[in-house]
Amino acid sequence: MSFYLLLLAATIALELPVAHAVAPRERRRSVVATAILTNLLTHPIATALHWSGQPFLLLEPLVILVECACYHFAAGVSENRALAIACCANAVTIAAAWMLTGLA
Amino acid sequence: MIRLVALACLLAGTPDILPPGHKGVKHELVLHVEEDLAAKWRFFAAPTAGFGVTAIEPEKPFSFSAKYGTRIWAAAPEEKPPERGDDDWFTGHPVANPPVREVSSVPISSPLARVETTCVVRSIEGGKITLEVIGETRFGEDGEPLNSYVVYMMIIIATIGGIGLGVLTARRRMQQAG
Repeated sequence: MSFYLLLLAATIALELPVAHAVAPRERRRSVVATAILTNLLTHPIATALHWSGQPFLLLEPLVILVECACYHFAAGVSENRALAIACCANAVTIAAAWMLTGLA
Repeated sequence: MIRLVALACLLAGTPDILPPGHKGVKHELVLHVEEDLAAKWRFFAAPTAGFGVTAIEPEKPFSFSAKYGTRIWAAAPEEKPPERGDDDWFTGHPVANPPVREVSSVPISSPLARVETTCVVRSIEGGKITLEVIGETRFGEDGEPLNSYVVYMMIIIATIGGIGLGVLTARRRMQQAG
């Protein structure tokens, strides 16, 4: 359990600054709040599906699409900006995941 | 927009949110044998691709492999099975394929380390052993059974996230309407 919470916390900690940086200035607070809540929604679902054998190839586009929709509808940013935030935030966690695996 | 979609497609091919890769899991079987059958039969595990015969002790875990096609054989208590593969011996004895799908690997972030599946011997008739799965226990790295509270915790976290997003969306729409 603790390892899962660590992964969740690391994901949020990594994605928050990225979302904040890519968000439009007037929407930064709502984007940061949305980033936290979006990860609370998508991370456990994606993790549970992954543990049950679903491949990243299937999960990753869904995660990005859901996060994109969340940034658009909940934070009120444009579709393009929402996609940019979702892609950039996930790119950082991808890199972190690869580094973590490389170090292990 | 096209660049962003292309970037999303690129990202889709690589792992995210969790460390990539898989780790091995030990999957063992436990055979439960009723007294009447235990008095008449002894049980052995042997691979169809490979060598080695393992005597199965009821209620004690033993390894099996889907890759090497482990099958379970029954023999009279006084019989001694061959130590290595002997087709003549094997063809004359009741046999069963374990009715279990082997779990050999899981994502590296999974807490699962070992799986123990319990099968009961229902009958031995016509050269066939009938096995039935009666239970499965999953163990973590610490050797303790995994508890379902991890799953409940994940459901609660996802629910909090979903409700929070719903509240944010509703507030934003109210602000827009107002």
